[in-house]
Amino acid sequence: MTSQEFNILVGRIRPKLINFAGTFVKAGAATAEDMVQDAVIKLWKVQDVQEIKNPEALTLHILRNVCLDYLRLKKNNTEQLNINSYRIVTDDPSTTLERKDQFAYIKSCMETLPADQMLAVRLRDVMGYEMEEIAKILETSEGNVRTLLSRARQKIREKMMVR
Amino acid sequence: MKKDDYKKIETLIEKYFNAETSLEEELLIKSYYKNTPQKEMPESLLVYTDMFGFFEAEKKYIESPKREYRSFYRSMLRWGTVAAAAILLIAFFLINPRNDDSFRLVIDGEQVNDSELAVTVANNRLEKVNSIMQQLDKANNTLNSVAKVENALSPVKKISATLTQSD
Repeated sequence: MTSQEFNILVGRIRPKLINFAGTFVKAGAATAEDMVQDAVIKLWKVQDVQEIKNPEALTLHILRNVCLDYLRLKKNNTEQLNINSYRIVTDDPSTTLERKDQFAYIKSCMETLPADQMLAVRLRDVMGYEMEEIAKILETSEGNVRTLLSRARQKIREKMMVR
Repeated sequence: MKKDDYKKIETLIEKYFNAETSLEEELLIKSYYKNTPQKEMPESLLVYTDMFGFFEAEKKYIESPKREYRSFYRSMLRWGTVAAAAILLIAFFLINPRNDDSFRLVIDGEQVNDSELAVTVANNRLEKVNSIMQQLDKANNTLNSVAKVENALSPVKKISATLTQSD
């Protein structure tokens, strides 16, 4: 890949990367940006060495590891994880306050899920990736991705029934 | 017709919770929830509207243009304009010092007592300030577009900066 192609790729997927990192930390804070930048640099180094078939999935994979490392460090410092919880998810003025409230509740439900379950739902239901891609990003098998998805979706369903 | 529709969706929903749906089937579910008014939905499907609505909203949020950069640059430019205006005002008052409360106009070293003339000259000066402000506004708009280009280039700059550092 030439550096120009690389820049174009990064420019294109950058919003997805920032948003992905934002599920771990407050999106828009310097940290999410830093993590994305970290992942992009790692990607640049990797692509030098080998041909990449699915750069988008690979970048997300790298980014996920960068984020998890960051979280592990954070846990050791006993800081609060994920201040992102109640960010109001939609700017659409026609969405009622009640609906926004429901959305915030669902978001917080997702955050109580184990990391890979939460990521599976995000990658599939929000970002629309194929099973194969998600398996690559999460470094697991497609079968396991299905398990993660079904567990996560059922848990969200349970929590919604309660409310 | 409608009954068939929702029976089909009900079946898909079951598959969905077992993670057996393909992306196309999931798209069918999503478009059902997007395009069907709630009063036409059976209770069994109504319960999931907020869940699918949430996913849809998150998706839209990701797809909207970069938010953080935009607002940062905008506020910087606004403060820049405010600062410039403040400087202009201060300069204006410094150029026209007053020893008492009334406004005096001095031309060629002699104080002008004709109030009409004084008002006309003052107005002219204010108009000049006004046109400078308008120029600033134009410059502001130009800066805005520069900022957008800056935005697009910044990942490139950051990467090349970091790479040259680590060499």
